[in-house]
Amino acid sequence: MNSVIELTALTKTFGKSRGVSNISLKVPKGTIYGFLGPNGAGKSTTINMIMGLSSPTSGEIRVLGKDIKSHGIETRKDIGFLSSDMSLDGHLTGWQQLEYFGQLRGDFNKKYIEELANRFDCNLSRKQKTLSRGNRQKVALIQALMHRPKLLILDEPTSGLDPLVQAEFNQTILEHRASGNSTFISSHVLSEVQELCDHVAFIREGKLVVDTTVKTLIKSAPKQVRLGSTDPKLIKALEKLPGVANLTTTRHRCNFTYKGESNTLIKTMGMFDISDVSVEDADLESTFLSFYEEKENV
Amino acid sequence: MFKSIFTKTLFDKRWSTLIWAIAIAIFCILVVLLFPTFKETFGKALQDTPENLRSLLGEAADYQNINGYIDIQVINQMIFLTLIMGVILGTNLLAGEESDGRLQSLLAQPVSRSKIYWHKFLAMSLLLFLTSLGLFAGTLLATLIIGEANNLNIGRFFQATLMVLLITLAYASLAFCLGALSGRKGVAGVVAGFLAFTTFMITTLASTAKVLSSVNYISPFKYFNSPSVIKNGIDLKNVMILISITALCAIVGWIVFRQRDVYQK
Repeated sequence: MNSVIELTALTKTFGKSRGVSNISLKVPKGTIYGFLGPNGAGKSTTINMIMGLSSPTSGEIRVLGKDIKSHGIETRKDIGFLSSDMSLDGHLTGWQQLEYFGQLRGDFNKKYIEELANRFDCNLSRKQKTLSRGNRQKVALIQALMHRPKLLILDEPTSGLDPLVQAEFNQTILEHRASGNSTFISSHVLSEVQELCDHVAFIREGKLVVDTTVKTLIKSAPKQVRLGSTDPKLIKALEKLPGVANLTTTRHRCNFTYKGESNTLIKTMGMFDISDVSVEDADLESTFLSFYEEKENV
Repeated sequence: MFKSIFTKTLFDKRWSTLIWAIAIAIFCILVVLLFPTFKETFGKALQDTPENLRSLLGEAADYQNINGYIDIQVINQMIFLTLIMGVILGTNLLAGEESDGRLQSLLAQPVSRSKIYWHKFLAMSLLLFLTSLGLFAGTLLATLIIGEANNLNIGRFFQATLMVLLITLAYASLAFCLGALSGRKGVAGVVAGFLAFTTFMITTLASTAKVLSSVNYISPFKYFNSPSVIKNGIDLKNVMILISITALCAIVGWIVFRQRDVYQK
């Protein structure tokens, strides 16, 4: 088994409205696979089908080498699942919740759970309804990890987590991969994906737009540049500069995306009087669209 | 602490069930404590009541002995409380958990949908049984207080309580089934509540409005306490009909729930 998740021509429609359309992808074993897209793109719909919560209109899903519909229970034994705002029983303490799920799994390792709780600084003795969203998310995260699953399926896992816990979470996921396990993670945060994933797929309006490695993606990712100048000569120079796109000006600034040699841009900027410079990663969608357009043009 | 979905469901609903059972027991005690007063005054007053109204209020003779009184004031009246409790419970156990997303978390564990469904259904049945014990115990206690325990036909009263349980279970199963079909708490609760009210009105008015008498056959209330269980003993045919309604709802819900998409929170 080389792929832990294999989707073949997966389609889901909700009456006349779109769900996802003709998605095919393979998640290689031992990798962290990012599944990205804007809100409403179809990420959760796809994950729900992978988890067996809903059935595809057409297409096939194999998880850990098995058909999820006919081998759901067997497969879920080896899956740890976490969604962005996972609902757990508010009247139970974290310990009670984890013990319950542990009993259902037939696998309750108290020592390992304590280790995870210490790691994420999570109080498992309080009733979950008294916890903040971030702390509830920590309990859900422990729930996903507590049985050392072969495959983690995480739907927007870090929403609500503070930066320190996010860093610990990233470390845990990397250790999980180091043990030969796999992770399928949906997100709309590019930096999170860059830090964690080996491979990424981008879904937009229910269709898989890009499926590539993070290295390839980063190479082609444009930067969002803002310059504190509206000098017409600078604007003309930028217009001629290869790699500049989406150039717009406001009263005091000019904004554009740049995908080219950094030195060339710096040299061009050096010839003009610029009061302020900011360079950021372009947002997720423009990064992927730029990559997509590049692929289309090849 | 939780060895199964069944025990976890019992744990989740322990306080609400206890409160319902105690509330029903207290209502029953209060109603039965009024028996001596009713015996003195209301029974005699009913002798002058028009025939049509007697079908609703009962015969004058019914108020002269504890068995008739309990039949009218406990078995026929307290059913509203157990039904409300049953519909709320049936709605919350599956559709309620799906609406707030907890069912999705449970389904992410290695358990089958059938197991989840039947464990919850069995827990619901046991909780309703415990609630109907509140009705039985409260009434029994009150008859001891007013010194009428010796006149009470306990065996028949137990049979009548069993019929309360069975009709409550039928409507609770309907709510549970509707929740399993739709995944929507509002749909399950409103439709089951509406059907309970409508069928109750059909059966109540069927004896005075002939047009309703044929429709009455599809009303579960027709098979609940007609003829009076306390007066005539339990009718096995009625028992089987109510069990069949419960079983039908449970099986239809199970078949659909196994296959359908679970609501995305």
